[in-house]
Amino acid sequence: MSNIAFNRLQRECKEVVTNSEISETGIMIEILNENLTEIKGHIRGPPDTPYAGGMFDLDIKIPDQYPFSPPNVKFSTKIWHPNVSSQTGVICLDILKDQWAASLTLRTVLLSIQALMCTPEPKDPQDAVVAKQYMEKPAVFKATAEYWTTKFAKGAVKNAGYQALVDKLKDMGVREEEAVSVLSCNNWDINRSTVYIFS
Amino acid sequence: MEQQIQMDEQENDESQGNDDQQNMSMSSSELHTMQDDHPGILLKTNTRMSITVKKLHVCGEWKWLQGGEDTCGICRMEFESACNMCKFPGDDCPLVLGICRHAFHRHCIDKWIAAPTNQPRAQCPLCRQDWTIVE
Repeated sequence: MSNIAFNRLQRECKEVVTNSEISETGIMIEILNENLTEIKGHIRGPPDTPYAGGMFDLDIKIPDQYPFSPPNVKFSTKIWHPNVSSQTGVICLDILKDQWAASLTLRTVLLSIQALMCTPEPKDPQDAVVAKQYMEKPAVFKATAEYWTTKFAKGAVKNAGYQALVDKLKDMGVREEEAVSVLSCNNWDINRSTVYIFS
Repeated sequence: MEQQIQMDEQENDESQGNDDQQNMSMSSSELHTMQDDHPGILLKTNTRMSITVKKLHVCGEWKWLQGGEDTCGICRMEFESACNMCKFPGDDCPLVLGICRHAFHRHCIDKWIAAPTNQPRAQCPLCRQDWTIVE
């Protein structure tokens, strides 16, 4: 890693560690290796969203050209959100691509992702299935996103109905994660989900 | 570049015993010290006391005029310190000001303008206005 990237990241890490505002906003970073090329981000699910109560982890990879190229950021916690791939955690956010600016920092990137969690942008989706559900069946979207938060991000909202459907598929020998994913993509229609899996 | 010169003068023969102590309190940025064997400079006074300057320490402090107390938005270093690519601050890496009134180290903004995400038109990394340097 270049000196420029390393020096700047050192300052950024200090900024995030010492800033008391960070604990209030619910974003954190964790340094994974000494040369600061891999960093773990944490975002607390914003209140009044289906992600409230959850803790979401992100993998951050720092390119050699940082801060002249954006960091590579994706969710490592599974999340049901129109702008995040429900399969891979890849995030669709302009500042992580062509709208990156050298003055942006890990802190502002994580805050932007947190803002994206509050206000999804379904017209520019990363996951078309989730975006379609968000626009056509908002109630199902909300319940599904809450279920995912409980299931994968230690959220507290229980949904016994959804859990029963997942258990039904598990009894048929389907992996839990796949069962959750397929049911979510099929608006929790168990018949369509079984057809999808077994045909 | 603006320069402020601070001068510390040590006076008369009698204070010689204090020399060591006073030297210790001198800042490490001292630029010039008169040689120990220098005969000293006699100062004109209106009193009968005569003052000979035996030692003279000159300290300088400098700052970029445009930057103020702020940090460079690209490297996050204070404007007064060198950018991440330079060992020492100086005229080969001055602060440059855009028409949007945002200042950066020259090396930092040059590198940003050349970055692939910033093509074809260069924008200020802080406000996204087209970047043009105010001469």
